[in-house]
Amino acid sequence: MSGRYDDALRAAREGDEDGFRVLYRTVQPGLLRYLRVLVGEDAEDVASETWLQVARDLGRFRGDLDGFRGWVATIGRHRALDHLRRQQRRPISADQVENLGELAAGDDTARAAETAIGTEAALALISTLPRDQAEAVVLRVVMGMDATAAARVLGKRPGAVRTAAYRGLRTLAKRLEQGGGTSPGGGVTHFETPALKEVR
Amino acid sequence: MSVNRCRRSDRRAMNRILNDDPVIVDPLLHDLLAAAAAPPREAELAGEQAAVAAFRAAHVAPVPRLRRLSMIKTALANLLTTKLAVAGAAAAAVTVGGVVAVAATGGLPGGGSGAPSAPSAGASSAASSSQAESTQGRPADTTGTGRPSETPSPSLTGLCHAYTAGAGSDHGKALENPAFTVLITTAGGKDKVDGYCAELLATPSDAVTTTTKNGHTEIHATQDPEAHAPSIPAHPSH
Repeated sequence: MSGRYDDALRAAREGDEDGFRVLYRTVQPGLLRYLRVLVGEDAEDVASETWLQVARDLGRFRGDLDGFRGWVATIGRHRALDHLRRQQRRPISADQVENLGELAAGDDTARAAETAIGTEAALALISTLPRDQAEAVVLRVVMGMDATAAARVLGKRPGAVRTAAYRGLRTLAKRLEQGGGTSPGGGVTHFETPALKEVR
Repeated sequence: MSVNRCRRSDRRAMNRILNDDPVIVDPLLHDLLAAAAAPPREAELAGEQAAVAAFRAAHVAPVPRLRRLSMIKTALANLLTTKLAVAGAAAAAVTVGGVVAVAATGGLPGGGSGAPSAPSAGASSAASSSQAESTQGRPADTTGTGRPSETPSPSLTGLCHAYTAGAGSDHGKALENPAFTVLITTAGGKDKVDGYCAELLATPSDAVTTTTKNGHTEIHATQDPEAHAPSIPAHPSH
């Protein structure tokens, strides 16, 4: 598993397009979701900027896939914060959460649409947390980083990230309960995360 | 419904994801997190082509800078004394076209990477690098330090060459030429152009590629120092 990514990384550093594609497909979905929480609907633009920089600077990167993920997330974070400074705009707010279910239409199957709604709504709800908590939750749960890796991206100590993630999750749980027991997007079916699969 | 499907192993897994955090993962929270971390959707990879194009451009473009610079220095040594003077004189003589030719050539992205004495090489390298530019999904200057940011300075250098090489002719009048507006603005005024150009030209740059496409190569072909005369074959297209 990791060998494949090491190969992809090495190849991409030497200019191999396919290697780069592998990296893109592996990291982009998580990155996009992380950015969604930071900059809302502008996440795609910021992700593009991020990959431009990654494409340019990849030759200088040293490390494995986990390191790469963290590196990309760090670049994405900087681009996102730049973007926020430029836009002076707040990320998705709580009252937008309900509308998000309609955003994700256009996918082929009903199931895919359901997934989309669930994902978008979940991210929207997470983005209502204070930013440090939201970032900690997404980096760990969505991008699959451990506290140390997430801490590196955020420029904090691992302990601070653990605390932030914990507080964020507790708040989310509370909000979900207050929401009358329906899960976000309504009827979210159960989806396994890659991490879940590994554990089993 | 989905809540029922959240098994204990999932909860353990979720706790594992969160390492040793003492988080009690309740079913609702579990569903939320699982939805947030759901498998990738096709739409999320929509930017792949643009990213790959950027990657391709980044790996086609970099001609090692050092080599470029040394080539350019050599070229400068050969060109500065004669050919550029001719080019400048031609420009100063009448032609807005001449000025634009020099400026435009200098401004071609990566145009300096070709051998300045071989017009075709210069032209084709400029062409290929602008091609690389266009395959790039978005302009690289969104990140601030892409190659496009290099382009203004070569064209200014070209303008400076045109301006200074016309030594002996009337600078004040030359600056009336609209082609120099950018130069004047950048220098901070007409009276500052001399100093600005002296400084700029002290640093070798891509602009020596005054070999051009589109028939402007006469500038170099004309080796005759007497070419100051306006009777020079002028530049047809501009």
